[in-house]
Amino acid sequence: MRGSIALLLLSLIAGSVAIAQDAPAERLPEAADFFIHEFHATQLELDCSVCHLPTEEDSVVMARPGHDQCILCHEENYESDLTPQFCGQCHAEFPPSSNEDLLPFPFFKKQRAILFDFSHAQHVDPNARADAKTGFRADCTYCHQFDEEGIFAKFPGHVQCSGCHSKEAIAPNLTPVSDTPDCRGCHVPEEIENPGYTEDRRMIAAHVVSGVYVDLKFSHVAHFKARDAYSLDCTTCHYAVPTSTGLADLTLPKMLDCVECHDADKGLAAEFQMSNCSTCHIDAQTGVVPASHSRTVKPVFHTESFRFDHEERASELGAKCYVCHTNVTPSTTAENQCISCHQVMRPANHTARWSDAMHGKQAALDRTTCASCHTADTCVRCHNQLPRSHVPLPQFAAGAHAPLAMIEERACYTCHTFENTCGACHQR
Amino acid sequence: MDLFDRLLRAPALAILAGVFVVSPPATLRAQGLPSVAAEPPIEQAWDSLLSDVIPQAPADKALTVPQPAPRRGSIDDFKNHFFFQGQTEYIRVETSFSGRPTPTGVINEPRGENADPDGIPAPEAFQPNSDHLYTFFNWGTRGWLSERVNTNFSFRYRQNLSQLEIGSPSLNVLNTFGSNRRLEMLSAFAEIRDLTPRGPLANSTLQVGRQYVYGAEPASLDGASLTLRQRFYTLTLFGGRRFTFYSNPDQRAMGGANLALRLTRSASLEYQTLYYIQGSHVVNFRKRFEPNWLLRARYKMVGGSPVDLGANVAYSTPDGRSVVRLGFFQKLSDKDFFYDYTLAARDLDSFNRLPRLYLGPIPPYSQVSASGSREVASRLRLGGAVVVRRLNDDADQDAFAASFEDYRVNAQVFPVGRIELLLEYHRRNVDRASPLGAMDFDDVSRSGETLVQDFSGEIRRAFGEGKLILSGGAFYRRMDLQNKYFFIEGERVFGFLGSVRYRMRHGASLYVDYSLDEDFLLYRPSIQRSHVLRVGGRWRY
Repeated sequence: MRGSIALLLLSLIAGSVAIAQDAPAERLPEAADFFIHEFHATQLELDCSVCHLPTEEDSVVMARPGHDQCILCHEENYESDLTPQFCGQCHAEFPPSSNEDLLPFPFFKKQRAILFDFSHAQHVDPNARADAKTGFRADCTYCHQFDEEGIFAKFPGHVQCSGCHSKEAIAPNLTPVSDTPDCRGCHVPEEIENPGYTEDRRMIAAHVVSGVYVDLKFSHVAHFKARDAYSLDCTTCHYAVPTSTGLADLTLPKMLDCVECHDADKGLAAEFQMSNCSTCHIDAQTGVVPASHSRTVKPVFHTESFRFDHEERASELGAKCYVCHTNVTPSTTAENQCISCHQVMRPANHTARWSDAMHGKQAALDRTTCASCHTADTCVRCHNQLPRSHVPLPQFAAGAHAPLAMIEERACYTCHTFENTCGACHQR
Repeated sequence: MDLFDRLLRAPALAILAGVFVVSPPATLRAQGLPSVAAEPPIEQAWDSLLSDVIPQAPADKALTVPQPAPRRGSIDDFKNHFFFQGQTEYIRVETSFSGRPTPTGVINEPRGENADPDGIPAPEAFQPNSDHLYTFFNWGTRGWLSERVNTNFSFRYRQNLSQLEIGSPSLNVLNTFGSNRRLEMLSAFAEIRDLTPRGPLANSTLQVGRQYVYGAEPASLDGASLTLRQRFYTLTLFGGRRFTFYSNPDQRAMGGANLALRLTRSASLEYQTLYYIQGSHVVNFRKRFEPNWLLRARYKMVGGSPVDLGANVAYSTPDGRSVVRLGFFQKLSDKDFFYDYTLAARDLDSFNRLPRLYLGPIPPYSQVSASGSREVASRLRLGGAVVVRRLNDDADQDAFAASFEDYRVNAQVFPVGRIELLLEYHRRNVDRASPLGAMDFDDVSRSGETLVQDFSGEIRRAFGEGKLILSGGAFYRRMDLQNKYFFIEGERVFGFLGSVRYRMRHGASLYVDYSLDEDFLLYRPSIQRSHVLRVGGRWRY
């Protein structure tokens, strides 16, 4: 077995140039075509616990494999055949001088969360209990603890998971001696280390894991200070979390969510308004605020068809129409506030000739749409008024109505019946 | 045991639940986890965690910052809690005439003592222009004096600035009121949240005043509504006096309830009812399957009669770029209530001598629909829809109800930079029987459109990070119609739209809208085209 591994590694390094032991340390290229977990865990079917041991006795925190674990199989390499490709699986330099040049895992695209997927919906406290010490949701702050400055909400590790998963009844079970089936309850390392493993998977972005954003600064604690004044809770911004069942529907707060307070709330000091770029940006720009930073930007799903089917979206619990549509108040569902928008937003087909000539044909085609906004008394009121076509009435009644009645005969019967009008002169 | 479990004990509901409840959550299946049936529920797990004060999670000092008390009571505080939004626009309507008489032989000549051989003189039917004013205000407070109290007032003011004669092409509903103006209070209510700190009213909202409540029917009332939000349900009870601006109904009292039950995290059942002369009842069921499927089913009754039954399912791809909807709708009877609101309420307004606008009942029909949209590329979105409606009984066909097939395709394109182009084609084939068989004088059951086609396009461009938005568009409608006297093919109307919007600082914006309609040549030979210019401003505080 050991021989075959050694042979495989030798084949991977075939053609490489041997480096003298006393040569200066060389920066190695990132390994790109050898996936260490895919080989060891999938092909060789090694148990995770062979390489991943607790950092200390009875701890659920697993250490990164060290030389003691590698040497179990790769003894030959350590004795006589250290190569850049072998050491380069973990070290950035060759020959390695210490553990300070250890490469992050996984190699590609900076630091990543090593979770395959996660359902917040399965994990959040259904009672949403608040932590008495902080007033924030205890379940959020239990798992996502903050750095010392209170800026970055850290990702939970095995310590937090073990609060529940160390109990025997809860699978996957996390203990100092957990083995592969339990590990794979949460982790699929082949997925994480290989960018081509599957085409459609979604991964947590590097800046989310590290909290290091490009040209953006954000402090959780700054928002906690305004908790009472603005009725803030974790889910005020992270509203997608309680119902998220996987990474696919786990969305971070968007710019529009910031806008909700920073563009609209007059109680916010000017320095925190959206127009002050340096509130959020390190490299503060001056000038006009980008359109994406204001309520005028149109969301992607506001397509042409949205004009017809937006009622369905607006009636969903938790619809956020109010973020942009300032006439809609957040305390009541958008569905109950149709009139708020439709007083200032006319349907596009209500053009110049709409009230005179065109609305009737639309009503004939689809009158239920009219009833979304209008009750019949609106129509009745206008239709009690003498239409333009009936002027002057004596001549119209005397016979001038005939050509129009022949062209648009059904229009007559929207107001008249044969019995009360036509029958006076005509016979069926 | 949650509410859904309790409901499942009822055998009939268990069958229903069997249809809708799906297999374990996707994440479990994806990860191949063992069954969690024997595990303690997550609620218990949190009980255990939070009561033990887990040593791994000490109080985080970053979270124990002092909380400043919100300011209350001062005038500054009022300014911070006050909101105001308004829109005012001036509307100019200009009509140009062709010089031809109307279909009834009316001409634009002064009346004389003798008969005019060219037609019937009535210059009021040729009034070329008119001016109007429209203003909408909405203001109120959010959390002023008490964090739990909001107020909301909205008014609409409209006025005809020109004196319009009966017969003018610009006549509108304002002319039915003596002063040609209307000030309408659309809403005026106070909202109190969280009536009690704990208990069943802890998460409640009481609204008192003039308000709209949408449920089984849109209800406009002066009264009160109470909304209770609990973990498993949201209940709104409302009642009051109906208000209307255009009629004087005999009966005013109305009331109802909206109840939404959250059966599971992904399913809800809603019951909405309104009592106004008759009872109107709607049952809605929504369920989200997996993260990307949404089912919605609806059943409606008016009085004791079933009226509507419908269901649609929507699927959106995980990336959100595609959405597909499939729907089925069955009109069960013609006992609709909403459209004859006034008739059922008996209109006592002396101006409204005609009892109603009568379009007839909507006869039972079956309808299937399919629609979809797809973000094909970052600069191209395509969508389309097909609706097929069939009357259950062909004998029910009338002038305003017929079987049809309706098609719609649209595209949203961003060709260059910030230019946005919207295109749509719509076609409806209406299946009407031949009008030649209609013998009675007042038989119009076979009259109406047989084909409608709409083309519309709109182009929009934003400048200066959205400060200035220009847009323009055109539409073209082509129709074929029939009645027992005529077969009319290719009648058309077309027009143009244009608008400029300029966004200023502090929530204010100015806009200019222009539209031009070229009229149906046969219907209104006397009118050539109409122009409407709207100049307005919006602002908010």
